[in-house]
Amino acid sequence: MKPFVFPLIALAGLATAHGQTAKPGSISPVLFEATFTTENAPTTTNVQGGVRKTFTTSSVRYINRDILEAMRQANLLDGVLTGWAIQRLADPAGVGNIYATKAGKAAVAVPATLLTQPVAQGTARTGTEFTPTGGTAKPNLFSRTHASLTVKNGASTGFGSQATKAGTFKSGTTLTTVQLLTENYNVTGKTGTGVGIVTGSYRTTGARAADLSTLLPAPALAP
Amino acid sequence: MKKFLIISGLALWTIFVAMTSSKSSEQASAAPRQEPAKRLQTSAKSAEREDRASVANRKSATDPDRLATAQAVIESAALRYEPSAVKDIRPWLLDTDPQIRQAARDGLVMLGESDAIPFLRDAASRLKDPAEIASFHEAADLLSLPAWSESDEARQAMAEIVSEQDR
Repeated sequence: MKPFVFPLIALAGLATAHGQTAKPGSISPVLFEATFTTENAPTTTNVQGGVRKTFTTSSVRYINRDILEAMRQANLLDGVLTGWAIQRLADPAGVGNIYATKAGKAAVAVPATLLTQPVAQGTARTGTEFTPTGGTAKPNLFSRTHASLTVKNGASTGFGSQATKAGTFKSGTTLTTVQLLTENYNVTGKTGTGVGIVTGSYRTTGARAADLSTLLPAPALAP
Repeated sequence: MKKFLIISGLALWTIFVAMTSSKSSEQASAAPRQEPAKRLQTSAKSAEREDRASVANRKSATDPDRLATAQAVIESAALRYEPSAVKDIRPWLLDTDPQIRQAARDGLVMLGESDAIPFLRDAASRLKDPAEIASFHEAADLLSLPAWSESDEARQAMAEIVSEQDR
């Protein structure tokens, strides 16, 4: 065999491998916005006839950028914020987690001490779910949902809605049904220290079927 | 002749596999979507040219392509995390499409720059839907607060994350 045939065989092998490594799943951008309100130490002043205590509060914002900034400073990112986003990555069944993602980089799980995804505790669903014989379920469901999540190490509650639809991921000639989840929660709870109150919202929008092989090179999604 | 057939066969197979895999990766781009800068400039300029107050309050059916373009442009600007991105998102705040206005509002929150506050307030004053007005004011209120990531508590939390990693 002539030597120039070997590079062609190698190229063919690479191309085949490239076509087979797709990891079907879904991506949905997460927008978290919250306010932490904390009571300051009361100030005491002596006034005529007694003592007056004055109570005040202070507030800080807690949004995607703050979570990413904390991850950057903890050396979890590549040193800069530019290009990083918080997204929910899930397998075809919709099971996944929230990650910091950037084009061309492996995704980094958002530490549970900063934010966890809402876990449904109670749902009331409407809609339909079609399961073809021998196939995968294709939901088209809307549910009112009560969920629990952790915001900065503090227990919080979310009340809102989830919409689940079926999408299709195509890799070569293989079609994979992927569940696309859209969430919208109002969040209330306490901050980690227990002296602060969290109010805000957690939303995922624009879920789309995607190849997660670059973002999640490991075999399985983290729970 | 035999060699020619072998080489031709390999070349055709390579082209076939490359084409099928590129189609699937196009559909499922994992990275935040990038749109041509030219399209951004055209859309942003045309949005600015119109009378923003009246435009924002007209009912408009959602054009999926336009929405996708706007979302990509807004996301791309927001992920720069620099004050100059505010002016790239601002024109979309008073778009005719409520979904694009919402995306612009969310993009400014994601960006987290206080420079966006006056633009959010101004946009809110030109809108009619009470829920949308409240949402824009909430975003402005949020951005006017100090960032948690700059607090002492945040520094402590970051140190805890680092120490957990080291274990």
